[in-house]
Amino acid sequence: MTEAEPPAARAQNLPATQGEVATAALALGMRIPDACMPGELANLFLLASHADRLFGQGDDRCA
Amino acid sequence: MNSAITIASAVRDGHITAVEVTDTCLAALENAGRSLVAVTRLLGDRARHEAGAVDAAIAAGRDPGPLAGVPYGVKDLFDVEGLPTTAGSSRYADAAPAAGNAETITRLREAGAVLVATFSMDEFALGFATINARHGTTRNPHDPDRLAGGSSGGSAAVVAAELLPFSLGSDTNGSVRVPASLTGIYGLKPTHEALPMGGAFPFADSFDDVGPFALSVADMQCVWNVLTGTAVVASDDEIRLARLGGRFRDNGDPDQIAAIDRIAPDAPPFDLPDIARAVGRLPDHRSRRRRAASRRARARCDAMAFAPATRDRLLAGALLPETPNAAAQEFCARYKQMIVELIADHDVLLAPATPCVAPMIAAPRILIDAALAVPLRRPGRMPLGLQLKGRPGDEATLFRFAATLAKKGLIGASSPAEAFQGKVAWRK
Repeated sequence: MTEAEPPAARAQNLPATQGEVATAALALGMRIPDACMPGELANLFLLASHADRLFGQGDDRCA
Repeated sequence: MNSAITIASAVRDGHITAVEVTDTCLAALENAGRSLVAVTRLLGDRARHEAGAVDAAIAAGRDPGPLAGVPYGVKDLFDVEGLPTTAGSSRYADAAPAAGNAETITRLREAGAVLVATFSMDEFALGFATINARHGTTRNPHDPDRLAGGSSGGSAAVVAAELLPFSLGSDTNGSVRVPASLTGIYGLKPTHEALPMGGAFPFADSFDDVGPFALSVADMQCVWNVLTGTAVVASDDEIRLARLGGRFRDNGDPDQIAAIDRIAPDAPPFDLPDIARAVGRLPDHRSRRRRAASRRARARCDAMAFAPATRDRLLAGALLPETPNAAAQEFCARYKQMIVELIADHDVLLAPATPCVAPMIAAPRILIDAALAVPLRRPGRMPLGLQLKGRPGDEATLFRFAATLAKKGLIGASSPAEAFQGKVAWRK
């Protein structure tokens, strides 16, 4: 059985703080409304955990 | 509800007119369909016009097609000429009307089918529940206190309630298979790109597929033949089965596992490698990114016009850097090829379609292209489905195997008639 090799770990650089979210958004010409910030942080945290698993660094228990 | 094949036969033979079928169907949808919170638009004038054309063809001695006078509806993401394509979003409620019909609708119309309604969905298909900020929460015909699943929940609910013999939904990450399992009907996630996506609202190009719902394998196959323009070739070849193990078996309902073991007691267990990495995570990276990219400009301008949960997901997807996205695509391509090679010796893989009855957590897609969700036969209990996963392009084997299971009484839709006839007080 052939195993698909996970991608080599690479810098993921997902924004994780309000400041990082604002900066990343600005770079794309976007402004994140204050009302959206909690939801953005929660979603980015989730995406970061997905990225960890994709890169073979995460906890597979609840996949 | 009569089957699509029965209705078409009766219309062709002159036992009933297409207009009569349409009017009956519209009346049922007006009452029960709306109480299911499934119907978003009834297309009375258009439907009667299409039905009239079918009746006229028959009167003139012309062949009206294999779906003559058969009513159906579509998820809110298909272009319907003259109407805005909303994709379940208030943001698009006043969009410019579609200039033409989705390609699938055109093919069904040419086969004599009659489009009668459009159905609710999760906004931009971002969900497995069909909880829609504009229309409300679509109800499960087997128990109105439960979800119908999503994102094609409206299309599934009306078929499960036997208000229509078939409908169209779409499946990007389980949006046909999940509601099919939870409402106890058949739902097909076809081989990617096997059915035309023209005029269907795009979410994630590499995952989006049109998928039909039906009450029987025969109806599903008939709709498939029309949509593909081909006929499934009969075969007596042995169907080589395998039972998906690992997380699929570990997370399944005991009834699903028992059914799988009863169907294929000697089939080898089959574990997919790297499943945790591939299953839940990859689609999120890719689809979120792509969905966000396609709507980033709009979200940038008026983020607050979107429902909060949708808005937060779209914006987060837009902020996802390119590196993990590119890595995900690279991994996906290699993983998909590996799966194709791994399953080459099997025709059908058996797995639970959802891990529990409604409400549920979705069983996500695992990059096996074709999958038919089938309802376990368990009258009097909440529906629960299995997935028959096949090789890319081999829907014919899925239909053939499902037909044998139905003939043995192991699978089949159960009627929720009491509920949708209005004896239960529906709550919005």
